[in-house]
Amino acid sequence: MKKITLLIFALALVAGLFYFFNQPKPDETKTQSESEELIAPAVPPTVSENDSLTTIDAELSATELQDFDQEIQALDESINQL
Amino acid sequence: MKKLLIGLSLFLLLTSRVLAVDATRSDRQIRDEKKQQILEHVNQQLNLINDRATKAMLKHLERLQSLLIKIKTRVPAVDITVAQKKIDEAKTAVETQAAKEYVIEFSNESGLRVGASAAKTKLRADIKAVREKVRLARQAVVDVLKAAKTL
Repeated sequence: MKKITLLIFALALVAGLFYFFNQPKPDETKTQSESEELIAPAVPPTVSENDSLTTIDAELSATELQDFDQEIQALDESINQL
Repeated sequence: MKKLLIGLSLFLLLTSRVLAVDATRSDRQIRDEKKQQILEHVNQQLNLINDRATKAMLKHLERLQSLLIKIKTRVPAVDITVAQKKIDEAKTAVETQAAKEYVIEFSNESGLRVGASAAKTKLRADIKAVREKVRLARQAVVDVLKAAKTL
């Protein structure tokens, strides 16, 4: 009976030690995640050259010079009263 | 003594000019009050339109200048010399136009309409000429942008 108890105790000890040594250490985990970050850094959102030129193109298209010709011609009404 | 004489001569010259202008104005007085008011209104409008048009054109040129700098910043290899020259030319033309003053000239009441119409036609032609320069400046910036896209 004693032998069986010792055997079970020994098996439990071996299983416990096996489990303990197979667990990743907290420091190792941290280093691993950090190194992963270093390997694949996040790409910052940058505006490409073409995108900027497209924006300028849109801005340039939006620039429209006001025409004052109609306003000048409208003076005829007053001039005709002279 | 020389300075005193020069100063006196300049004073007399300026005074005589002012008196001459006053004499011309009194000769051209209009009896019809309504016509006088209309004339003043038209004259005021001519200068007001000139002021507004030139201010709008200057603002437009400032915008074009800003866009040209943006293009150069994005694509430093692009040549902006021609466009910059066109903008500068247009700006000078607009500033010259802004300094102009339109006065309706007439010899008698019957010539009021002709005088006013002539002043209006002059303003129209002047604005059109300056506007064309601004349009050319804009076209030059468009050409620079096209060139930048190919680089």
